[in-house]
Amino acid sequence: MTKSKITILLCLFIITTIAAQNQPIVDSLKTIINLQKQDTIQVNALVYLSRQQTQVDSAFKYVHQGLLLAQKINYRKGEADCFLQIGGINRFFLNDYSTGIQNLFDALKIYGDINYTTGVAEAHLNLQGWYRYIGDYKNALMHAFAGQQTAESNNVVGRAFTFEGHRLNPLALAEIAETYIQMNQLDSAEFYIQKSINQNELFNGSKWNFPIYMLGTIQNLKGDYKLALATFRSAIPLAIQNETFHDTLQIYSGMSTLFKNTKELDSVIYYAKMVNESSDPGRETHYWLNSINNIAQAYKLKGNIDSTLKYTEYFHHVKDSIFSRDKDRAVQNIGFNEKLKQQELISAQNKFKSRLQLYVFIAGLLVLLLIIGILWHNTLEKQKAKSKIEKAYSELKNTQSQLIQSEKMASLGELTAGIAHEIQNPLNFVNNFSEVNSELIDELGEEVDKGNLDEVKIIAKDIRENEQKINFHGKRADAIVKGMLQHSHSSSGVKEPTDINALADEYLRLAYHGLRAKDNSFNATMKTDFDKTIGKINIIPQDIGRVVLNLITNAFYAVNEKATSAEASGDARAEDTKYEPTVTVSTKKESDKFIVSVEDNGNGIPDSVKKKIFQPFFTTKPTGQGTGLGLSMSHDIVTKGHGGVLKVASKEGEGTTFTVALPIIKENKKPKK
Amino acid sequence: MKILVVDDERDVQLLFQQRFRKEIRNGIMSFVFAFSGEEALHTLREMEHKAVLILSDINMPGMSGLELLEKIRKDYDKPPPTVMMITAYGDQDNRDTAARLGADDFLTKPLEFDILKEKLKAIL
Repeated sequence: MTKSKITILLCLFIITTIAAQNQPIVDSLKTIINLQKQDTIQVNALVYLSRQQTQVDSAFKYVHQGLLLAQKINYRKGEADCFLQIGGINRFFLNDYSTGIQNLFDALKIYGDINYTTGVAEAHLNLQGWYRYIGDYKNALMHAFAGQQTAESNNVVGRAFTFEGHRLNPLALAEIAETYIQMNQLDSAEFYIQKSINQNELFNGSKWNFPIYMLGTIQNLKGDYKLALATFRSAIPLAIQNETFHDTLQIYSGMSTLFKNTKELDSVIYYAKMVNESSDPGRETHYWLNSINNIAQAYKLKGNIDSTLKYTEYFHHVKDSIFSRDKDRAVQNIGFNEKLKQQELISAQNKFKSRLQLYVFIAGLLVLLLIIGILWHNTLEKQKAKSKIEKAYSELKNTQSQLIQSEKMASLGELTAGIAHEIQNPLNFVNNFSEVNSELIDELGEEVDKGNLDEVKIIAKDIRENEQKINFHGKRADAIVKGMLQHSHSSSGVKEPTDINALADEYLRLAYHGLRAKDNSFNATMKTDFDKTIGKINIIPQDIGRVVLNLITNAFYAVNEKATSAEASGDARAEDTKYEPTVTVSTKKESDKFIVSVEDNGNGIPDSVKKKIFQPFFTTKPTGQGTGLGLSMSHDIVTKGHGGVLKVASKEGEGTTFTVALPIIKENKKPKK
Repeated sequence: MKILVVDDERDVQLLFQQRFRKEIRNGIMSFVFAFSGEEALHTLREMEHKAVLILSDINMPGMSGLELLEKIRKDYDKPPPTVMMITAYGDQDNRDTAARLGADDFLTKPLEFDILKEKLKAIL
């Protein structure tokens, strides 16, 4: 199902079902019609009988009778069904595109009037296929989305007209994807085909092969040939399982194109010939032509001139015979487009009149405003100057606070993934140990009843142990949440005794897991060297936390950058020179100060850059990845907020160490705000 | 059934032993634990690759669960074992990578043990 699934479905219901027509049903339908009861049953029978006909005259005769009767007895659904069927006849038997599409709009209107959502979805889906066929992708998408929304919100299941017995939503999503493929918007196509696959439409207990095939086509177009081949291969057994054997041909056609891209010429010929030499009546012309073309091109690349000539001629022969019908259709389209243009012209004239009136009104209004403006001009001039100065000052203050906030949010963003990871682990234990305890309590009761005291003691011990785990991991989660809140809240500005080792350790883990969660290729060794005698130091924890997080994140960024470039240049392959990205956080208490240092073995900072790193807005990160305020703010926090020193020592190619030195403040000193 | 559980959270050992205590007691399942990717590879070698099922965390210091998965898929020449990934951060990127590297299943923490049990029973 390549060119247009709707096209084929319509073809199938008009043409191929005839091959399998059920004579007893046809006879029964004729009996119903001969009874001439003139009721809704007779209309339905006429529509059904029309669909069974191989000859256009009889197909049209029955559905025309059905239409007249439906209109006579005011059976609106039947009338719309007739229009849908007539539309199919006009397009596929008579090549009358413009009348056919009008019939579909008639059907759509009636289905809408009577709020028959199945018909609405079917009509939209037929329309989108036709619009795509003539290259009008905008209208194709419009109808596809309308059909999809109707199908999804009403859980519509298709009738004989479209995708019989299956939900229409996955079909509609696949149709949207197909239009996007033709528009070469592959990301959108992949998004919608993935949605279609996720619908997991069942075919006799199996998945639907068509969207899988489409996914393979998208991957092939994107150049991901390995993945595309695997996807195509996974679609083949599904098509066989679904008994849509002709669908295997479209997959083979897709695979031949894929092998053409990968220059595997024998495989191109093998798969394309499977399509070309098939006698399956369901074979679609689109991929048949594609396959012949692929064979010709493969022979050309192999230098086989005779076969190239043979298949090129064959390609043109088949194309000409198929597209002579399309030429007729194109002429029809011109007529239809002319009608549309006339309607658009009338509509444009009406719009022009309305616009002219609006412009006159706006012009009058503008003149009035101009007069008022001149009158007030002098008065406002003086006020403006004053308000400009005030506004500029206010904007400056706002910008300053927004910049500070954005830096905070940026570092919070870096924490989020780490927090998600860190909090799910304790939750895992809390949830599961509490469930285990619940089970154990039941068992305890049973053992008490049995009088099995030894077993009771063992279970009680387990419960106690689990309870301790619940408590431990609950507190662990609590600490993480509190840490996050502390980070996002405005600084209290109040210094308080803080366990700097715990703070540094927490931010090290959060930053590491945050980066790992965002980029699973990221890896680094974390080392800590904490001075256990340091005790609690008097700092503003939120602010120093921000400084530590910023330094650690920068360090991870630096080692990751070096690891990536080492890998790209192949250095990482040699075991003896293998680069091990390492970040070390250490604390130390000296006689008059506390030291917190963050060391990395990244590329180091060049001297020319070193001078600027504490300047606001200076960043070496790519646009969008850094605000350039992290080190500047850290510098302010350490120096102005804590009277300390923030220093950097770096050697190009070897690494960087940032050192925060905070003076030891005596207990009796007032906290500095 | 021999199951290797890989997770840097050490309490995972107690949790699995408690949650599967009936299965362990009745000899239906037995668990071996490793607390890093490197240790898991070592354990697998010691077990002469006899584990039929590996449950591995993704985010671990050193070798990640995804790297472990890649190595297992590369090194096993016998019928490969079932490998299920378990992670606290089940974003699409991780899922896609796990699927590409040949993971058989992907579970997120907090673990639903009832579901895990059903999956293990299905493999049994």
